[in-house]
Amino acid sequence: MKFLVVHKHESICAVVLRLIQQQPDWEAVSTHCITEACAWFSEQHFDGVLLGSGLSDTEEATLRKHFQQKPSIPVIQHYGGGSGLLVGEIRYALEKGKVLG
Amino acid sequence: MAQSILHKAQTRGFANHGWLKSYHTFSFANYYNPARMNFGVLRVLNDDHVAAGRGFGTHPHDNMEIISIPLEGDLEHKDSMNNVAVIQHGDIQVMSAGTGVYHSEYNRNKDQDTKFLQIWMFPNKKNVTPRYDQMAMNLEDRHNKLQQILSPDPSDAGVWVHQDAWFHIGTFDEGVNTHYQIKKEGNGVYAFVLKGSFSLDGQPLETRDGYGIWNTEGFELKALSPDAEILLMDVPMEI
Repeated sequence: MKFLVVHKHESICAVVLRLIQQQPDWEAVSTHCITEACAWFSEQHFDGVLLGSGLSDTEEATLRKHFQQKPSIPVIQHYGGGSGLLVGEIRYALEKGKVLG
Repeated sequence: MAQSILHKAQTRGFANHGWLKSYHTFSFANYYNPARMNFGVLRVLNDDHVAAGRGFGTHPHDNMEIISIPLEGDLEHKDSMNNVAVIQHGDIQVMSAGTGVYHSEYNRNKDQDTKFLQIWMFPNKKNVTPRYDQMAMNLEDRHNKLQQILSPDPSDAGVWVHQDAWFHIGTFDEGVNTHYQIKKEGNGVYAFVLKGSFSLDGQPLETRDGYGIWNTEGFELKALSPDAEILLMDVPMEI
């Protein structure tokens, strides 16, 4: 499984990446640049997108509009990854095809 | 017509990390049950036992309303907003993670475990400025009645959150009845029995059972044992 992490909070993103990479067969790339996130999403295969905090409403709207190119890929809010919530949110989105929150 | 869901105490997820024993009402960390993800905006209800001298190291959150309710012992809180505080039984603590916050929670006692509830709700507004608050509640004000400990209104009783949610705790003598009116249309109530046994709209509940009820305006609550204690979480059902 490969995930795209879009974030504005560098240190929280580092935690999220570490939690993802702890899972067998999961990997992730991250960026804080909206243009880069859109380009990577178009060019590469991802199983899910994780959105972090700090994105403005405009930035998030831009991203979500772009991600509609591949509507089967879930866009998941990650909540900072604290205390291990992250994996449950991702598994639920991948299995059920819908996102909480 | 009212709808409901019963989560018996023994059906909760359980994690034993040695220093931490945690019962999860909803999916959390390594406990994953897609049928137990949330009750409306209520996403996490953990019943945590922290060993003496141990605790949760510094870790991040964002865009969650995080509420802690100590049941026994006390817990030292430190966060990236430079708050340092201790909470104990009778207190309620709230942290709006918003744009991002780091915190740790430690049991500094050398000889007493800490038991507390860790509750997370989705906020009704994203990317708010992180904030921390705690409040000591008067335990006498919850004897044979429901004491409000949380609301959306900073000027109302208890702490406040970025969500249309109201929490109450009550400690009841055996046989005492009370009626609870749901605060807002579209909300439901998740009841969690802290001690003893209750009947909620006719549904028997024992210690640490959870019971969600929605599509109703209110319900009857009756204590079926002496010194019975319950937490009611009135939350929006739509995320």
